[in-house]
Amino acid sequence: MLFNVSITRLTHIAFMTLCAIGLNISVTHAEEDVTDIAAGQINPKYTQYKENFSVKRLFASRCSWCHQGYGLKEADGPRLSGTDKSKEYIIEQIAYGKSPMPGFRKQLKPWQIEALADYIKALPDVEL
Amino acid sequence: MTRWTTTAAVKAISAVAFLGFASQAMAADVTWDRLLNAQNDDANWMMYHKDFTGHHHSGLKQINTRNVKNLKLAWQHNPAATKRGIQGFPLAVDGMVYYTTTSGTIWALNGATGQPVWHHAAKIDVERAEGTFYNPYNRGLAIGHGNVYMGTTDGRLIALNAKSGEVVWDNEIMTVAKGNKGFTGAPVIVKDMVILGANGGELAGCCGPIYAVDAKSGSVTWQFDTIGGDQRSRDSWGNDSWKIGGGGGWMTGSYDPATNTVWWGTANPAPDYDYIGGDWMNNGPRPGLNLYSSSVVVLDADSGELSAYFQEMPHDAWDFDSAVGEFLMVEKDGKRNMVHPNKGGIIFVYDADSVGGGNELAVNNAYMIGETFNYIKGVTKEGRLVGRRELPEGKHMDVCPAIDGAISWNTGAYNPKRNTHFMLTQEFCFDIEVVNPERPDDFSGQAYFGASWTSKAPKQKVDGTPVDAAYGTLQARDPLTGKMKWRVEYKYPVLASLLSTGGDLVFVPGADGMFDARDAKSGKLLWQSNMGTGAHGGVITYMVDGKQYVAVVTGWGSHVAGNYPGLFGAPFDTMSTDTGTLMVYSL
Ligand code: HEC
Repeated sequence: MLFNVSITRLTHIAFMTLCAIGLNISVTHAEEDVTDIAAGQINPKYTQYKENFSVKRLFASRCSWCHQGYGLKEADGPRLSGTDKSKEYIIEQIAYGKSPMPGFRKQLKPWQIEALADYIKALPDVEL
Repeated sequence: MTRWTTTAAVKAISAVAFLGFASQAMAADVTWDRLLNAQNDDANWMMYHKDFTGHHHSGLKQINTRNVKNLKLAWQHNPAATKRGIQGFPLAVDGMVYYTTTSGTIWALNGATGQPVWHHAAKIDVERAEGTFYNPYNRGLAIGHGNVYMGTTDGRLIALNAKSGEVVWDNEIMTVAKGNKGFTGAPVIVKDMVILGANGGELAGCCGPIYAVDAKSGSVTWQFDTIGGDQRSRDSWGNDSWKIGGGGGWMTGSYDPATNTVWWGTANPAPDYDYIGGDWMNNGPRPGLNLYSSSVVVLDADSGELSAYFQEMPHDAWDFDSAVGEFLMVEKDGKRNMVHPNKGGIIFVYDADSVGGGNELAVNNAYMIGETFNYIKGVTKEGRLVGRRELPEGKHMDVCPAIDGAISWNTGAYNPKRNTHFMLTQEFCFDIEVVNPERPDDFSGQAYFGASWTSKAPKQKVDGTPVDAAYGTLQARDPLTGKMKWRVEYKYPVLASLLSTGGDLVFVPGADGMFDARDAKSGKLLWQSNMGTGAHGGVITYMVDGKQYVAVVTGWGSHVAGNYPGLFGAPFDTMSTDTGTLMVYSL
């Protein structure tokens, strides 16, 4: 799947290139936009469960302790962007955890877990 | 219950001195009198902070500045795989060494040879324990009244017979109804009680209890709720937000015999961070001061009632809690001071006698030891924060220090002869985006943060000196005035505790696995040995059959350690996070 470059990935590359050719935008802003782009694709799918649902807000509230930069940076937990794991695997990981990661099946609703998995899969393979 | 008097103390001290020689051969029981006078017993390390002065100092001087260059590994012990390394303080009593691994296994070994005597693997309710992100953590044990005591991540306290390792009792102290929390800190024995505090600063739920458990029966003698326990606390959390306010007292505190009080540091409030910014007294997820989070609480040892308190971080907006367990008793000119470091990099010097009545502690002095902070401008001598940098909803760049604080839960050490306090700082920052967090649906201990962040190097020191990498310091100061005596920079902030000895040495177990012995007077490096992996646990010294040993635990992997691969790359990018060893050195 090495060359399976997603739309998000292309958008990101285009954005980074713009930065590189001299637009006065810092890299940090560019990379945070990557998570916004991913979230922007996912959020509308879940507004049926919650008005104004924001997957980044949910991620910050439950996952940020260990997964820095909305999943773009390795810390106590690994970087999540660019994962080679399937959506099913990721759902399983969030629900049941893997010590030291806690399981969230009692804390999050199935649709919230799925939204987080969709968001992680939508993240391009970039690292902060 | 009788109050401890000076006469009783003198009697107890002489009794211990008399028993001193016989005790090793007899493996005498660790009685309350022995614990009470542990500062006069340097052959043994009988509690987390060694004794109730909290100095982490032993008078032993067989290993000293002149001969430390000959220090060698005497023996080591490898437990089974221990995820996130070993984080506790070993204890050494009458020729035996006891230590815990993170998953809650206790090992009892011969202190001279390392030969295992017994071990006990606590059966943990994995489902419950792994529901929190403090798994698998264990930071040590308490010994006394014939038993060894250990708290577990699933909310139990276990008593084992110190000689045989047999279970005496195993009681659930904290039920899930109060939040999915448990115990990671080492308990401490006070009289006939075992005191321990729950984790849970950033977990929705209440009320962060600190428990006193009867050492014999295992039943709860008293419980102090760090939040919501009294009206003053409830009034300081608008909209009943104390009910999901976090709290806790997850590290090991101390005891002051002169006032019969337990001194304990408490955790931050939940949610971590506050999107409302400057208007926090009136609005946001937890309007008000949020007592007694990020505070020092002083409790009557017999009743558990609040005797005094001081909120070090009023309405903590940075997760700079006060759970650091170190309480240093430093007497000067007839005045008794209790010195307490806070995660925000502040040292508070309390008047140890300003207790009783549940009022604010009097602060004799307060000063900053962090070098790159910008979350406040500073602190007054009265302990009040100056120039708070609130973090309202949105992005904030280069906030220093990061959530990990300038000081972590590992302890410093104090050499009373030199009046020198050895302290560590961590110098790194983060970019943070604060959000209005998803409020948990129920109050049973769900993670409750209000931000996402990435850690990074500081750009400059407080004095404006440019900085280009994260770093750490080891500082030697007068603990009362804060006056610096010497300072050593560490490329990688040290996350292990420190040991001070009568041999005029300071032992520093490094993050990169280098174990240093330094001259207490100058900070000069006198000895160094590679332990094979990073350390973020305890270090002690003890004596068996006239021979002095230094014991240190190794092993890597924790929330703070998780920043290191990103901040420094090698050697942390390949450092194992599921091993650990007890290393014991002698001449
Ligand atoms: C206490 C820290 C912690 C928290 C909180 C946490 N994680 Fe993790 N996470 C980890 C660790 C550590 C791993 C690696 C576990 C392993 O494989 O050993 C991990 C692994 C993962 C993986 C698997 C990645 C892969 O490629 O294999 C996913 C997906 C993940 N986490 C998502 C989440 C989400 C979503 C949340 C919030 C709901 C979350 N995590 C909360 C620590 C944490």
